[in-house]
Amino acid sequence: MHRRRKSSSEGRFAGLIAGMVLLMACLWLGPSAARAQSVPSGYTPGDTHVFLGGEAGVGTDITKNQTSFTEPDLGLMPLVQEGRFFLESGFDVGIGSPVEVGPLNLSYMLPHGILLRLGQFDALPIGRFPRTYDPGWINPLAAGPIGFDNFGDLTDFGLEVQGSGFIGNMRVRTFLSLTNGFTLQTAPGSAGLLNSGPVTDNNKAKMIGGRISVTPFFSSNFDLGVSDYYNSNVGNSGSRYDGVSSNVLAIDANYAPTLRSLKGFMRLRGQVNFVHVGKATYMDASGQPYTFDNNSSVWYGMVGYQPSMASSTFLQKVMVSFMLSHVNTPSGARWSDLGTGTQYDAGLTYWFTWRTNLKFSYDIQENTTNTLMLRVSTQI
Amino acid sequence: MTKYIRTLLSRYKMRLVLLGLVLGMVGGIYGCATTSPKEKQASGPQLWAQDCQSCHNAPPSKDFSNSEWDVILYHMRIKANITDQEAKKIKAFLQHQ
Repeated sequence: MHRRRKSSSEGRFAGLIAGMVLLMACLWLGPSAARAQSVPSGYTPGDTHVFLGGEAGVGTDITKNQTSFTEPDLGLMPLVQEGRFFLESGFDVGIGSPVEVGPLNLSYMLPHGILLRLGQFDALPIGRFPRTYDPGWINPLAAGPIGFDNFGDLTDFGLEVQGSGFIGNMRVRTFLSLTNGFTLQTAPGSAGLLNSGPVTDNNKAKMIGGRISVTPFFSSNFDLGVSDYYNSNVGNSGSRYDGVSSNVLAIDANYAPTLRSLKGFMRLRGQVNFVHVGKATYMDASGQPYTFDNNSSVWYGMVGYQPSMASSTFLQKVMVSFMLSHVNTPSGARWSDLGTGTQYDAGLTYWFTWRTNLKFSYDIQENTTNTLMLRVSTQI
Repeated sequence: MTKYIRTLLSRYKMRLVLLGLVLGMVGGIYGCATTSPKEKQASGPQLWAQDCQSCHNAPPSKDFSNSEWDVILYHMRIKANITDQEAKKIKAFLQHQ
């Protein structure tokens, strides 16, 4: 499950309301309308299918001066499918912190496999990392790329349409969404950053965007995607920031070739996000106005190799991986508590099963103590 | 004239990118009904290995019941945006192992 930052009480309240509306819609529509509709071909008519999924992780961080056991991570994801309806829900459980609800959305499958979704989405497909590769049982490294939490990851409320098809033998995948969108942070220390939500809607404007990706060769896993999300207003309605726009553009490429000559397979992943926020004048802690060109970017590249066809059964389950990631922030921004610069990660992963792994990752960040991270992650 | 076009492109660059993306996606969604010759030929096991492995290790069929596979395949259509035909073939393979 995608890891989110703590939301405000207003955000949680809005999430609760949205959740109640969705649950009522599900309860109301589920028994009657779903049975009245034809079910997608291949699914059993009239049956309600329930699945409890999720993920969990435990671990330790070791630095030169300290060894600390990290807070265990547990995310539960109850899924319900009845006919063409599908409920996706999730609960993040933390030690000593309130249970956070999300994602929480209802899907309806239109003819030809087109999916219509309404509710809260855990991460919009701004590239692929936040939505697909972040979970601990998928990411072979213990850490994610630097900066992706702040520049190009959004949990949001809205409507999404998605589908996939072919042009010749080239696969085309599309997501199109209309959501409340990012909101602008204006407090000293974070003024000019975009909130990654889930956040309370702060004006009439909605964010429109989506992702289109192509897999040019059918039998290959090479996938190239472009995402763009535009919001004409991220400022609070009626405030001095009313009318400040934002745009997030992401380009990603992913490839997982099987290489018989190397007796294994590789994972090659990369993504770059360009974040633009319109011109605005902010106030620093002493009340002095300042402004800056608010353009940021983040990128990462990862390579992993697993000798899955080696003669040794132990080696078959080992993956070696490296990641390089970087964040560029505007020179005039006065952001504190924000990781900057370049991050280097090297990792060794042992897969006990297809969904449970033991990871040793060494993380080097500029201006931060190097850390050896040990993690055990599993998909439930 | 060239200057005018440049100014226009500069001013509306973001919106043009977005418009192109929206048009591309609408076209893509309309194209969902299409299948490819290779997709028709591809078997369930082949698609299972190819589509699952592109993001994570491919789960074996014995790990979940038929009813659970129904839910998981629907969910993977949301997460990975695999096509209608592919989902059906993979599910048929996993449920009949």
